[in-house]
Amino acid sequence: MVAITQDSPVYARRIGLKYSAGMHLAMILFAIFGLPTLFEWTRDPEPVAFTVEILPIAEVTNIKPSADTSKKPEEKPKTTEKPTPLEKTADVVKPKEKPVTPTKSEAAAVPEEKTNKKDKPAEKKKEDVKKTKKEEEDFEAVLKSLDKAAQAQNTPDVKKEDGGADKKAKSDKYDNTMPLSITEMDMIRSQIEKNWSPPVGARDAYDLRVLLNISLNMDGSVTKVEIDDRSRYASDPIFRAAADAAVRAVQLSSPLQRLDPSKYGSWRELQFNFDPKNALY
Amino acid sequence: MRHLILALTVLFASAAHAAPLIDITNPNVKPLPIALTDPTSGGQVGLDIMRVVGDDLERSGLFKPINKSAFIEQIRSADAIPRFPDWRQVGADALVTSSVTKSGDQIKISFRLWDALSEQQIAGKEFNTYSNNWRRVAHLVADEIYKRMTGEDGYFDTRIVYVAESGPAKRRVKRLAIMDQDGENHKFLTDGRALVLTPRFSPSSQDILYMSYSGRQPRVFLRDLQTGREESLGRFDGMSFAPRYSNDGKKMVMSIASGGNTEIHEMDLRSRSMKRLTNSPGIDTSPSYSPDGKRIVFNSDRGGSQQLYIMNADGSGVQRISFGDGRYGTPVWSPRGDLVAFTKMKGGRFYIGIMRPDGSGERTITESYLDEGPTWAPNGRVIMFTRQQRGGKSRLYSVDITGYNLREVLTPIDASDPAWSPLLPL
Amino acid sequence: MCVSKHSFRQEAFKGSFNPKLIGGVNAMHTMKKFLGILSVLLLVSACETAPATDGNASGTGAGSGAYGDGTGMNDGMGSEGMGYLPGTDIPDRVFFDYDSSTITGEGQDTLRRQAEWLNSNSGMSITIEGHCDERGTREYNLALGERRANAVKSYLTSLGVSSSRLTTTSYGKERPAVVGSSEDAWAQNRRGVTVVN
Repeated sequence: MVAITQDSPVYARRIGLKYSAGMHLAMILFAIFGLPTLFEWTRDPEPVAFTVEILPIAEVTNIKPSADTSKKPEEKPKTTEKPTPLEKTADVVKPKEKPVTPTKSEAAAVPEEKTNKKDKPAEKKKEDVKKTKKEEEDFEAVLKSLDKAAQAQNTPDVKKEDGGADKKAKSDKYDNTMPLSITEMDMIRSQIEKNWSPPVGARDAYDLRVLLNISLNMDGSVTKVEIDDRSRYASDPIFRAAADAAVRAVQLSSPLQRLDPSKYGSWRELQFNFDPKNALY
Repeated sequence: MRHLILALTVLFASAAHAAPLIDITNPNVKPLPIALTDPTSGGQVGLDIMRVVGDDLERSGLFKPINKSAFIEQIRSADAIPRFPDWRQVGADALVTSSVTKSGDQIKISFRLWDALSEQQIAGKEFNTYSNNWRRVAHLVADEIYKRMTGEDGYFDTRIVYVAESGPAKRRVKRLAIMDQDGENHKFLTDGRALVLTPRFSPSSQDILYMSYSGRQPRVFLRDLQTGREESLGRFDGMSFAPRYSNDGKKMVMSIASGGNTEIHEMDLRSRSMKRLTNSPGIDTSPSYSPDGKRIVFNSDRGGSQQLYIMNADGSGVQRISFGDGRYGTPVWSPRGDLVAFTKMKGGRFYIGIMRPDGSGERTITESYLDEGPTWAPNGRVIMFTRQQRGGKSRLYSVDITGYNLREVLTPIDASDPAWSPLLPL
Repeated sequence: MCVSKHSFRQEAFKGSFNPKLIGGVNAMHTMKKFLGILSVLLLVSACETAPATDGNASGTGAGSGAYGDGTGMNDGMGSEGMGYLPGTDIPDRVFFDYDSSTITGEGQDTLRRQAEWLNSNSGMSITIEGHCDERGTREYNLALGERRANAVKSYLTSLGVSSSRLTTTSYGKERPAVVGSSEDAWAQNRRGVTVVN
């Protein structure tokens, strides 16, 4: 028996195997979670996008995150009946955000919350869910929840592969390589602009550009809107007003009309850059 | 391992397909449709409060209250989550629910502001006060809603002091008057026997300065609005006029005209000591402090025609800031600090205009036979001014700094020389 | 007039209103600020008259009732002016060009006649009123009226009238002689009027 030391070729091969397996795992994980999850986070490593949930207009009753889940499967009509691992993971992620260490402001608010528990816990929960996403919820937390999510599946490996397979199939199905045409962008733009009423008359030279990340269903309905600059939203009331107006413009325009379903891959994710500098004043 | 995945996903993020970026640049600016529901309790005073809230919001030009008869859902509890689809269906982007409870001579009003599209509450507050103060509470509620939706401070809990005019044009009777910014709680302060002009609020809104011809020499007076007590600030070498408070209320500035020359002087209100700030042959008048109190914008013809100048609060560093075609007068510094409003005269027409304190970015926002004397709402977004028609009839008008929402301010009789108070102290 | 100062207590709205729900950190900040202000606010006394702290009201105009001493020409009523010095055919006024306080040639003629008359009626004291047309801003016009009145005074003084007899005042654009919005009306309103006290 050859002792496996750091010098031996066997050791080197093992190391190589480890890295190879690691790369494959990374590829699979990325394939499963990479693209959509990244839109949930950001293009740059540091700032964390702030998610605002859009509730489908048709079925509003109480406002619980679990209520959202039932809507998600509609997004993938051709895949398995069960929700894809992606959606499940997203669901699981949200409730888990609550225990994340709250910032000081929330800690201070918690006593108030506790004493005023009477009204509408559902609404509160939804609020907490939305607002407790902080910088602490970094990749660590996602990885944790990804692991948990994998465990949560009844047949994790199969699920993963199915998910992976599904994901690959989905990627193939929705060709995202064809760019949107100018006409298509104009058409989207005009629908949004019709419903966009930003605050005007703000202090001179005030930068009120708002960047939103949008996810759409194939029927043009908006499933997710994110404001890109969350810290500014929290600290700058005028920017918040401008961001709210941009979000309203998207909400009021949903479902977007006259989008070509066969090009769904090109427009299922959009970025809107609202810039009112040309507006009156 | 984690870092490897992180690196890979980030790497792939940048390489992966980026969502198409669409620039949205042409807004369709409209008043925000808002549903103001009747309070779930509180009787007539509750209805009155919400009516005043609705009137304030509508008057700002930024909100459009939805006709109550169109409402679908009946709000029975101010705490319950509304049926948002019902509200979206009537076109509401926002919704206000409230309740008013009375106990003794006190009332308590609580309101919630809801976003009907995001389906969440976005503001809520509770106020307690004496019942006969219900109008102020209504204005405070309106200010809260305004602030949450626009990001800017409101201006509804304020008052206007102005000159009420009547009588024939050759012998106009002018009286000081005061009212809430919506025209309510109107009161005359003087009886018209003496000509009064150009009143201004103190920063606490508890006193006013103005010019009166009540003595042998027309001069500046100070009046306590609470007690009605009036006092002259002194007799000087000539007529004193155009009085303004400093931002801390401890000093004032005014013009004194003597021997054909008018200069700006500063007075310490406690010690009554005086300091001359300008020193030039010609007319120096209509001073106005910057919000930080460090500079003063004023009107001078030292260059040969009526123009706008800026100087340090001690009188040094005088610089001209108006350079357009025409003459400029009555400069007033915005409480927001970013703009100066003024009267411009050109080609036989009068304009209300705004420019940056360095003189750049000049824009006119009104025009008529005779518009003059702008005053700022405390949030620096709305301007009130005097509009006089041919033949002499004067009324007050307000306009947004964007030039939109020009509307007449209703007063019992003709009016001029408005001055807008700061937000009233609680 | 009584400005009510009543207490306000703004409380965090109990129940579903959770400050952290609104914009996160900033709302909390605002809440803290409000609570801070709240704790500072005291119950101020209800509407009642408090004596002014430095109550040195001047001799005239003290209190809420009396406005003006009601004497003569300086109670803000101005002078109509009949156009001539009493009992003469000497015009009592000179006119000015737009935005100007220079005595015109015509004005000089008139003032010479006035000076003559004044010098032979040395008992009279007069007030010179300066006026403007309406095509200017209010405060600037008060100053311009004063400059015009002073120009008349200077000219009369230079013709030997004792300056101690001459008081100047300005009405800006407040007392037009002629109502109207025409060049003619405006020209007649830009005037310096010699009024016998």
